[in-house]
Amino acid sequence: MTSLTVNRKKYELDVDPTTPLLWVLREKLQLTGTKFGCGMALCGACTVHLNGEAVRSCVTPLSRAAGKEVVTIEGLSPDLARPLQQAWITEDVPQCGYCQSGQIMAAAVLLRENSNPSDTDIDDCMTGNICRCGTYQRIRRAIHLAAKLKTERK
Amino acid sequence: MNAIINLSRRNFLKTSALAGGGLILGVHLPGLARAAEASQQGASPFPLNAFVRIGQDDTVTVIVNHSEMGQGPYTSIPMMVAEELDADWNKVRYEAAPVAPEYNHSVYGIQMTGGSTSTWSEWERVRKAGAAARQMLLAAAGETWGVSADTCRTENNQVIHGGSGRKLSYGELAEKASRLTPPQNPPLKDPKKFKLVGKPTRRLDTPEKTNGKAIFGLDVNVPGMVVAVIARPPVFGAKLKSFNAEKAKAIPGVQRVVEIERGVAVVADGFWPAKHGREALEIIWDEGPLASLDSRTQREQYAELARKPGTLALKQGDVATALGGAAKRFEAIYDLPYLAHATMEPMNCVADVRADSAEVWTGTQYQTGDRDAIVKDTGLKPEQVNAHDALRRRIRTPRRDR
Repeated sequence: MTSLTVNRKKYELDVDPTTPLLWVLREKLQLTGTKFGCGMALCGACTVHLNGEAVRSCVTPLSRAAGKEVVTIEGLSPDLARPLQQAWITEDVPQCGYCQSGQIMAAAVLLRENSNPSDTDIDDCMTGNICRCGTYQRIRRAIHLAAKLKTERK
Repeated sequence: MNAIINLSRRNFLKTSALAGGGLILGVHLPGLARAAEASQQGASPFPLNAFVRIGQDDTVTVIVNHSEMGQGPYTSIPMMVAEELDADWNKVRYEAAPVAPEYNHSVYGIQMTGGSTSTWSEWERVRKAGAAARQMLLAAAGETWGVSADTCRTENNQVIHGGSGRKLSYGELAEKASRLTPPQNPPLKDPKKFKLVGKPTRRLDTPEKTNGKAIFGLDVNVPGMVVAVIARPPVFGAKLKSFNAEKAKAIPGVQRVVEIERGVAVVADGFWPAKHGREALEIIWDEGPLASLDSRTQREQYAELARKPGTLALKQGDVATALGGAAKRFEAIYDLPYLAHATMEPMNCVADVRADSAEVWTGTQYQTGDRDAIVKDTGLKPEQVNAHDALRRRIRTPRRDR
């Protein structure tokens, strides 16, 4: 049995502890907002927060999440989710949309740590999240806007 | 909005083809089916035609027959319909069309998306669908008030009677309108009067792509579903020599190992055991004559081919003479690498195949082809097969294994 918290809810899971967190979230908890892209920590589509840090859930064994707090796109706290989602909508960021949960989860950590990120800060933080449609310019604009919205909200 | 629905609208949409633009209008649902559909679809139960449904809550649902892969038809096609319908854009929703002839590409005659054709090929048909629905709402209002429809106008999801200023919302008129005979050739707006088409409009599908709710092919879950992964040949044309099914089956969670035409499928109760099972297969391939083919060899072959005379497609003017007399000549060789039509979402497909029906969910650009392939593989009748593409991603129909 592995105990962990996902989106503020406690779970006791009888799952092989070597199973990547991604598959526990998607198949056992039906939290399919976290996406499977490469399975090798190369694309960022599976990004979730583990005790507040952005991790690649496709290479994070369930055992590493034991006793910790996992947050997925479905459970992102409103103070980060609202400005990010509003900015993403205003800037019309997604095309196919497959990478965007991962993009937003990565951007959320950046915004929490840095209330006014520069282009360079954004590029440095977001470089591991690949978008096949090439929405990078809009992602950057949306993060700037989200930072502004988040500050205004306070 | 994109919940998995087992009802096929095809079963109770009575359709008829019109001459010319191929506008198809569906009418008259049997009461029972309508109730069933209403409970499944929530707010927009009343179809005015194959492309428009309006709910009592005033929601306008546009059924989109082109796949959304990020290029925007889930927004552009509703815009065209809403323009002619005078719909309130804030009340417009989209829904992916099921596989049915009325949703065939207006030029290609099959249900598919590609070649940058979605907007222009629907330009007339879906506007006519919106215009026809509008006429039916006008007629329903006229009937309700006992006035001529000609004395009424439409604006922002409402029919307004010119003389009295009385108003009825589309939601209030939807049921009555859905029982009327659709007009055959509704007039279209003068483009000068467009309020929506040609104006910057935000995508309708962005919210669900920012909160994890958008359902892609890989996100579909059917109760009791198992997961198969396939070990595919490493080289084009390679043949399977041997593999160790027992070793794969020894992995906890692996249920079956199945040899298919081009590879081995490992079926398990989840992705992770299936992947472990695949890794345990100890496959030996006969890689065949293409084993040594590489990109450099291929490029050389292409260059060699390019130097040979080709098939004449078009002859216009005289290149040799024109170049001979040119003041300046530029020479360059352009070389592009092989570009895989690869998506970030791995190829996948969910199939629920039963004795008398098959439901398939897959990110696809070619619904008719998928449906036909499923019919061929299962021996079912086309009407027993529903291939869903309510799932957006960029993809080409995967190669079939038989």
